[in-house]
Amino acid sequence: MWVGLHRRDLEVIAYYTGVLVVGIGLAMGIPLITALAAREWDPALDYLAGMGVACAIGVFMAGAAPRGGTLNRAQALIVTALAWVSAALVAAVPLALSGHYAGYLDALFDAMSGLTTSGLTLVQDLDHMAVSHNMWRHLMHLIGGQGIVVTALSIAIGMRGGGAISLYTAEGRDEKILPNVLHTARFIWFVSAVYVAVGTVALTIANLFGGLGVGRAILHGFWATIACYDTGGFGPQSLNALYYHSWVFEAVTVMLMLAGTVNFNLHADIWRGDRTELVRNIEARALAFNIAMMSIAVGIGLASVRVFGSAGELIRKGVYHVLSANSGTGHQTLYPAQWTQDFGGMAVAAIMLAMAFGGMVSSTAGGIKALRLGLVAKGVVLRIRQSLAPQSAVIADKFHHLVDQPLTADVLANSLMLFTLYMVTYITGGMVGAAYGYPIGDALFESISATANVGLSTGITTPGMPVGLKLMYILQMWAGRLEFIALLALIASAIAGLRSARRRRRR
Amino acid sequence: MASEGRARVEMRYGSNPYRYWWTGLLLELVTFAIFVGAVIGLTLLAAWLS
Repeated sequence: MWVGLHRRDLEVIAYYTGVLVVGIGLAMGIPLITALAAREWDPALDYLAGMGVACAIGVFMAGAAPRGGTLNRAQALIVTALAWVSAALVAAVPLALSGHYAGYLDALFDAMSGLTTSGLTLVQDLDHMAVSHNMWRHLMHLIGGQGIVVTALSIAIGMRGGGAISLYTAEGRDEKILPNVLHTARFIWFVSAVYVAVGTVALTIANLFGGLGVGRAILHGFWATIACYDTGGFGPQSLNALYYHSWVFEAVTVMLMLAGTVNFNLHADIWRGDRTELVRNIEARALAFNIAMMSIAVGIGLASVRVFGSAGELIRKGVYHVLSANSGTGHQTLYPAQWTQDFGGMAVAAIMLAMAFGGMVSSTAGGIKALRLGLVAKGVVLRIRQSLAPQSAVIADKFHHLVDQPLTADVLANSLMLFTLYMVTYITGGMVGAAYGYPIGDALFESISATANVGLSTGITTPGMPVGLKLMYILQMWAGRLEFIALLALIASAIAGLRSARRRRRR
Repeated sequence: MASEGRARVEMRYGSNPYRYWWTGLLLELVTFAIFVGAVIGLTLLAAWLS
């Protein structure tokens, strides 16, 4: 039986979604201050308008229910799904007013891409964009990468009720680092703040040596740090990471990408003194194995096409993109057309697999995630062992992820379900792209990039792409970031609600 | 100063066996650097062998 939502459920959902939308509106204060500081008066008005829209909608929704109503699991799933799309809808307002987008849909595409830390973009004339608009684009990576709910929890805007833990887990962060969920959210921000500070200093120095002025060096350093640590992929220049032509810049960003793809629980364990967890954890092992295999495949693939001759080029074009793809960042040092012209079949296939597999759970990375791949691989080995053992033998296995855990049928089924959902979405998006006339290889590449929130592009994602494909990629970015369950719960609740309304009308 | 920082971290995140709070950060960065070095070596070896 499907459980439909009642009026009280809708009030609670509207209240929490409204609070989160107000939070996005308040966050627009940062680009507003940036605009005022940079004397960008038109963009300042864009952010005033954006804040007005967000606060008006948010306050109206939050007024639907008495403050402090607690959330159950089902309500939390729906709030999370709605929060992400509501946040993107209001975050797109100042972008749409900026004049750098063909229309509101293109701005919504970038807002969803920014918040889900994808990095695909439909912006036009990026090289002449106002500083404040670039600040907002990158700030969306930070807000979304940390998790909209985590962001709200960490500043505890209206989130002190009993629903905090339900919201936290509904956003795909299913493990508690610390006993208190608010402390957990703040610890995530503590780790991130340290990395952002260290990364900004390192990249500013690299940019100064690269010839940028002091102001641009600092801003570009800060934005690139956010884009890499939150595995986003936006850049302030249309050439993305290729603009800098600096191996120091690439080396620093690689370290930030790796830090961003590490599970926050693992950060917590290492920062609190457990040095062995990084090598014992099944997820860390699976990710390291995956990156190593994909790098070998890219090395062989690039050697066979002989476009990038020297060792330096092979590393800067090969290893950099494996790490960018596997971490879900999407920074690229290639022109989009080079994926099909210069990279060759095997290397592109390895990059697609790296994107599809993704980073660790409870990180800012997307994709299927290394933990699930590790568990599926362990499940396959277990099944083979069971097949070879005598019928009466009981063969069991365990895995180490923060603590030793038994490899149960439930754990395996959950991993396989998400594995299947990701694969089906990757292929469906590829088929839709192919139906619009794009080559199937390019369409599949772009579909995986959108669903796994990566941002590498073969050039399909342009302002001139069909509206249907823009909508498809927006849906894929949203679904992939939420790992499907929250979105499917929203759809199921909507259908159940419609059915019960129809039954009531018949009576 | 260092002991104050450590005390703050311990108060917020529990006991920490490191002398300085940033030891964990350094440990991660060194591990990443070794890992990236190993991956670069593997890639070059694969390209050279093929």
